[in-house]
Amino acid sequence: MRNITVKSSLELTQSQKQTLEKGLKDRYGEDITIEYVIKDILGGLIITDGEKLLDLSMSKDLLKIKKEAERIINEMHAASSAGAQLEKELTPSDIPAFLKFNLGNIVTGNLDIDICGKVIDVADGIIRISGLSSCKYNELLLVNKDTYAIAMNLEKDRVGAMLLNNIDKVSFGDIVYATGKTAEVPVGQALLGRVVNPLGQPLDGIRTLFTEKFRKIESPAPSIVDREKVSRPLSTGILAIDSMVPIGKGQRELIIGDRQTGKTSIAIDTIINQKGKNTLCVYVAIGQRAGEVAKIIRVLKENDAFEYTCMVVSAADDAPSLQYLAPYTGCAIAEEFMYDGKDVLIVYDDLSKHAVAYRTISLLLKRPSGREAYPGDIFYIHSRLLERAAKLCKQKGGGSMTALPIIETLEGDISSYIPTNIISITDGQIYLERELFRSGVRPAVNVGLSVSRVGGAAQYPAIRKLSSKLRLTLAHYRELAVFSHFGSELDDNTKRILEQGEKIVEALKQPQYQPMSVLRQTLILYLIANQLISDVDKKHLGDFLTKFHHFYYSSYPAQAKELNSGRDLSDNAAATIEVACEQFKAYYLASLKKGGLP
Amino acid sequence: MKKNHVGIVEQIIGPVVDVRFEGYLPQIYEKLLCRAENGVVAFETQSHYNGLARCLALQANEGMSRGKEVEATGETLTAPVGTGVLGRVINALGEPIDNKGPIECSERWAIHRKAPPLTAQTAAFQMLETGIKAIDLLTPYPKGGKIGLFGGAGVGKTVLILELIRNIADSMGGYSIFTGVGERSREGNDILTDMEQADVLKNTALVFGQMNEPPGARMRAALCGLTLAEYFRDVKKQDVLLFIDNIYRYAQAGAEISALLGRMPSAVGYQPTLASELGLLQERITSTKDAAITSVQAVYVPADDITDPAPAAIFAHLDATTVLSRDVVEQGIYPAVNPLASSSKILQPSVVGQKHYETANKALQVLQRYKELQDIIAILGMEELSEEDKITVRRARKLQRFFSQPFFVANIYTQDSGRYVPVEDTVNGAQAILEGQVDHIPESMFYFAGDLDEIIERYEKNKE
Repeated sequence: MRNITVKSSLELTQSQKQTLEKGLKDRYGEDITIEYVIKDILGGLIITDGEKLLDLSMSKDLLKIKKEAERIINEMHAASSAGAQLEKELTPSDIPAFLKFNLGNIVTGNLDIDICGKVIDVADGIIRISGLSSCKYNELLLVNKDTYAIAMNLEKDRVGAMLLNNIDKVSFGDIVYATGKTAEVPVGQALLGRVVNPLGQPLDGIRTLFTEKFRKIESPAPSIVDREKVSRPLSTGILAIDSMVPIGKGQRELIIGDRQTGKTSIAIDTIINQKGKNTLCVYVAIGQRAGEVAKIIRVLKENDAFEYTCMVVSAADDAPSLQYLAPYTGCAIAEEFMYDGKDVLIVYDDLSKHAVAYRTISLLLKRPSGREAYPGDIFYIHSRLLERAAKLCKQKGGGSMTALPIIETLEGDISSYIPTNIISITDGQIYLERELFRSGVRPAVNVGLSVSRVGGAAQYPAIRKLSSKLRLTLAHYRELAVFSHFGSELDDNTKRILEQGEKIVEALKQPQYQPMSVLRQTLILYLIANQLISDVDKKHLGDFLTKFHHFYYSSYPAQAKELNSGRDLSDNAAATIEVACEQFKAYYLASLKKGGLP
Repeated sequence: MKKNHVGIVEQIIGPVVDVRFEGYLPQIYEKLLCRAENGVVAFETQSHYNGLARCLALQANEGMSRGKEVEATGETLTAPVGTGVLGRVINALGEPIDNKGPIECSERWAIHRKAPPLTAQTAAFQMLETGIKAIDLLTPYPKGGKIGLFGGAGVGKTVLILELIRNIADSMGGYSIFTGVGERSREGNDILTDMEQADVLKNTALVFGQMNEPPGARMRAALCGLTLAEYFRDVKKQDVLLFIDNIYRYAQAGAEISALLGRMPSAVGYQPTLASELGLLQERITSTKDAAITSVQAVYVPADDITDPAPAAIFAHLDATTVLSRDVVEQGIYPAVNPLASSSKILQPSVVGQKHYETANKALQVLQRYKELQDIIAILGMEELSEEDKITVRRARKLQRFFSQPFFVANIYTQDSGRYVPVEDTVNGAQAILEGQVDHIPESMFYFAGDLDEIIERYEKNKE
């Protein structure tokens, strides 16, 4: 027994029905039932038995025309961007001519029968489909005309899939088409300065994306022998980080902390600091408030950082499946640049929401749960993603992808499940602490718990030399500060360590969106390392350091240029800083005495 | 040539695939092959389910569809064994992944094997010096024993394991097997290039099933590495060092697929077979009358929760455990050994000698007392303590700092060259601290030094 559905825009006449039934019976035998459905398909017919589909509708023809037109426009655009001279610009009046030229190919007499399935269950963005026997694991499916889904479970006689968009528009009996490919997104130069959703569709309201290149959103990470040691610095422009938890190109460094502790700011500052440094950036927003994303776009634009950045955005109201895909999409976009030999920085903001989205999907697919109700493979979905960031070896083009995943903790608990999972994947973490943030230490980096496993090898030699003891000095200071909290009789040694620690904390403070140059970092670190700031009062320290930087920059331009290169500090350079500091300090302290800041 | 049986894929749920064979059913652990979109994917039969073979993918199986043909190979997974694997890098399937051509070996062993019989086993009773102060004094490692390094994320397990490779692989002589299970590919590359540069690769075989690979590969990489070690022990009768980083990932990979295989979840979502899976692996890592396998296993502690079922199950198999803690990291002390949580079965006078034994016990007592006093200090301050307790606290803090030590493999973080401290110097140093011979030296001098002489020297120099 075969159930056949016939869709048309208008009720068919009796004679039309008879002709149709006769034709179908000739083909399938007598044992069929036919159901007629009226649906707006513009014209023509759609005939399906739930497994195969014959689409003879007008809307399908229009879709074909649209696709063909897009292809032609894309081709022309690619040709023009590749340097080929077009005889003239394509104007709207030319389009009919193009289409007419191609129309013959589009509308042919051939009957192309599609493989399809039928939706039998719909609930909470998860659908179950009968039919679709050739469906591949993780294949992209098309429901109706413009709804996408991804096949997650291939059961014996049905397919479980998650809807990516229009989750409230799918209903029982809808037709599902196999696309024959796993999910892929447009990639390449065209993505820079753009905002796209996890399917690669533009969200910024401007022209469509012109790109010929597509890349699968899931692809294997570079193998062990395709990699190379992390060896070049990726400057964040944030002194506390570049000195104590340095990041190298190809590293994965986690930014972790409670809400409102400046996690995103560090990532944004880092993107801004890549200006003119030949590093492209991808920012992935996962389940973020749209307002927040708009603010980030504005900040990037204001700082001229948007043109080398691509934003992949899934908002808080998007389906969990779309939020789940977002980081893989961003990763594919970044990967294309990496394999092209370029340096890329990718920010995942944030993976806690990603974990929650995946938990939602897993539970809806009835997969069993473990710790904190997360599914068993929650570690694997993150490790698979973050392992794709790497420094490639020369044979593979030498490109790099640096990843800055972000994780939000609750009440500073970094030892809960998802945070420790990610910590065990990344090459280090920057831990931001709310207590520090509130007491005005910004960026609120907890030095004791922050670490960079590989960045040290990638630091600028001068900075590495000057900051080698800084991290431990600060960690010891903090431990001692807690220990001697109640002590009234401190020995001189302890007092000295405490005083020095306070000064360092003060010197490392830095406002948002103001990345520091290598020169400025070197100067501050030099003064700290050689204890040249011990006679400057704590409350004037920030001001002193800023003004000293200006003074040095204008008084010793040649030396300043050398320091800015980050090369190892020569004795000569060190002596110059020392002299400059003495000069400036004498002047500064004298004018302070006279009252008023210099 | 006999034609292999061919089955048809009937169901795909993540890495678990059901295959229907007509008139044949592959044995449990039998290897199956399927030609998918991106090359051949290998599977291992896990169970029989309603007449179907339920299999586990050992490689990524995205893009696979129902109705595909799967070929039964009639054999289980095998690993190449012998001296041909030295200097090479292989994966869980025993295939080379270092682009250096095929591996020269006359034999391949099945990776699923039985543990040696009880009569062949021996117990280990000799100390293995590591040159690391905190370990040698408090948790001496037995030669031919099983050693666990426990720690949460980012407390320094891998750095410690690398330092151990550096310090003991040389002194032990013989061969080492490094098995990377579910850890970072970047670390795999680092280990490979470091070993190449230090010219120790020729005595080492590397096996990797890293965290970017599906759970099947991660589970089997551990067995594959172990099989290489067993061959040297049983056939070549040679002592072997087996490093596994990280054994927790083996248990975790089992948990990822357990539910998909149709098992009911056990505590915290782990597989019901957790203890037996670990037992099968751990019982094979043992020393026989012929030769010894000394194994060092890093154990990840999820969510810093040492009572988690997986680390708890691993504990029982080990002769010595070193626990690394986050609160020690926070004090800036590396290696972040938590002395009170670590232990060793050979910390006995008959093995390490009377002096070592007593010093270690005294150190533990002092540290324990300090821990008890910490709460009082936090509320009332140091001044409220008795004179005797004050001395205990000061010595305990000096001892804690004495246990910090610069590592050879960590000089990119510390810009300081590593120190190897012979166990005798460690014991003498700790004894001197406990007896109050260095009460006059401020505690900050104790950070990151070698033996006590270096600290005294530092103090003298500073005084000038």
